[in-house]
Amino acid sequence: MIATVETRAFRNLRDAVVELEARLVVVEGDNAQGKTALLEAAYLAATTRSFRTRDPRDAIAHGAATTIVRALVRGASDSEIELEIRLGRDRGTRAFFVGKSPVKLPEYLGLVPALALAGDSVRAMKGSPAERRRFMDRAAAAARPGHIRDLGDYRRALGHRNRLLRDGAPDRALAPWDEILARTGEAIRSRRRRELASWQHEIGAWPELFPEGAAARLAYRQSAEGPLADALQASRADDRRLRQTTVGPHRDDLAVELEGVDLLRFGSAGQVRAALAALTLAQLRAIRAQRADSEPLLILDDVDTDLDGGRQQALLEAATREAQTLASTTEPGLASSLAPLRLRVAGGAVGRVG
Amino acid sequence: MRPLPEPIEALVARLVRLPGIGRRSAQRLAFHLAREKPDELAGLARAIEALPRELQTCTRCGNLAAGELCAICSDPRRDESVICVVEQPENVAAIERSGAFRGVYHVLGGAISPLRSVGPDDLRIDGLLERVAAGGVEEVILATNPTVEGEATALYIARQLRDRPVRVTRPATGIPVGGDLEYVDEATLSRALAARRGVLDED
Ligand SMILES: [Zn+2]
Repeated sequence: MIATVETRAFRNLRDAVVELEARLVVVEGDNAQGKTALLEAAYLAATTRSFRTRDPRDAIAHGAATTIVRALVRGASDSEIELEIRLGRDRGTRAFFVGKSPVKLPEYLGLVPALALAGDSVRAMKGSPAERRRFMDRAAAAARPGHIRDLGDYRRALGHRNRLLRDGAPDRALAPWDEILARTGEAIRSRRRRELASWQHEIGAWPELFPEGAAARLAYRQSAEGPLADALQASRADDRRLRQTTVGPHRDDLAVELEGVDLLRFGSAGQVRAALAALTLAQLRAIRAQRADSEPLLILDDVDTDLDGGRQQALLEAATREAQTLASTTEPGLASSLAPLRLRVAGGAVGRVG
Repeated sequence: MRPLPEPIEALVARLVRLPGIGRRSAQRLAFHLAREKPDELAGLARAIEALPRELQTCTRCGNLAAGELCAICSDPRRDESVICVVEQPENVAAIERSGAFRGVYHVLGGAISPLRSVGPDDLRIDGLLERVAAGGVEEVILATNPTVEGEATALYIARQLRDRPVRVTRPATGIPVGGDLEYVDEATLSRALAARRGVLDED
């Protein structure tokens, strides 16, 4: 569990050490006061990434060259480790420390598994197949490190193949790239499917939060049926005409089907958020099953968005059973029955409430 | 603002173009050279100047050579029935350091990369096919770099050799993916070469 987070030159937060040692921390505050920044700092210390922007260097405070985030993590039997990440404005000036010693990224990652459900994730998931693929890939990459490498190889091979299609290159030039796309693409698909299968198992486990879960079917929708090698072969004529590759995991999609209708695309905002929350809880269960030694962190930014009071309560109750939960809200007094550690952020300063 | 004297600045500007040399290393090298004796510097300059004049490309395998043939192609003890195909001369040097290989080489001069406009015709692939067609070759080892471009190059060549009576193999895994043969340690390289397998094997 993250006991404290300390920030230096991080967004608009005042430099300070903030105590977070509780199963549930509710961070209150009006918009633009810094409550999301506090959640972002905790998530950054755990994952080295931001759930708000692609480039975490966006979090370096105006006028500063470097930001530092430290997290003190208390494990089982009161063992303690200190994680520290430093981000400089210049490319490449990132450094990670575990217990004051510099480490490489792979040694740093995974010490605190963390997931985030942001306020705008509903809009993103509804509108963008790319976002739905990223949702699967983040989970697949957390479970299997080889996933990132295959995604990178796949994208590079795809770029080469698309270039050949634009240039009207002959079949013998396309053939090796098809073979590489088939190998890496099938690996990507099978890891995504494995994640879906494990979520399917759990998605009905939170009926007060996501009542549709018991009947929902998670579907991996392929851009073309059958093995990718065959699909690439079969789509060559189309691909040449369109000058790009039209089949493969870069065109596949995730659906949460209810009687054949995809909730993620056609459900109400409340249904989509509840479905996303249930998928996130299912991922946390999978993480805990694999990693009994480490306590995951869950970020719920703007937890009240799109959810009615009953579902908010159900989400927060379920979340605190699966992970240390940091939730932000503009509503004072949220989740009082769960007796959270309550913080209030105003003008970048974090204070304790009550 | 350029606080360095012009001759040092001019040298630094050249040195930073070299691989693995940043501005800081370039300055360190430049200041070191500034302290050297003129004889030493002239020797270095002569060695550099001699490169384009005296260095040739081996007409048989594409390796760097001091004459028409490289040291390996002109060594009668090398086994000419096994050809190891690599991207660059430094890959030959790495495999030679490992001492694990007694055959001969074929240096392609790069890897297929459509995004950089490098196609099969820009590499020494035809020369390889001619060597195989000339006979006496039993095995071709495709030791291109473990990148997608290296893999595509190996797959392309394997297809071109499909109907020829030669065994086509690729070094076993163990070479880090995305890396470069040049930076693989010698023991790993020996193991990968020893455990090579057929490219078109179905398993
Ligand atoms: Zn030679």
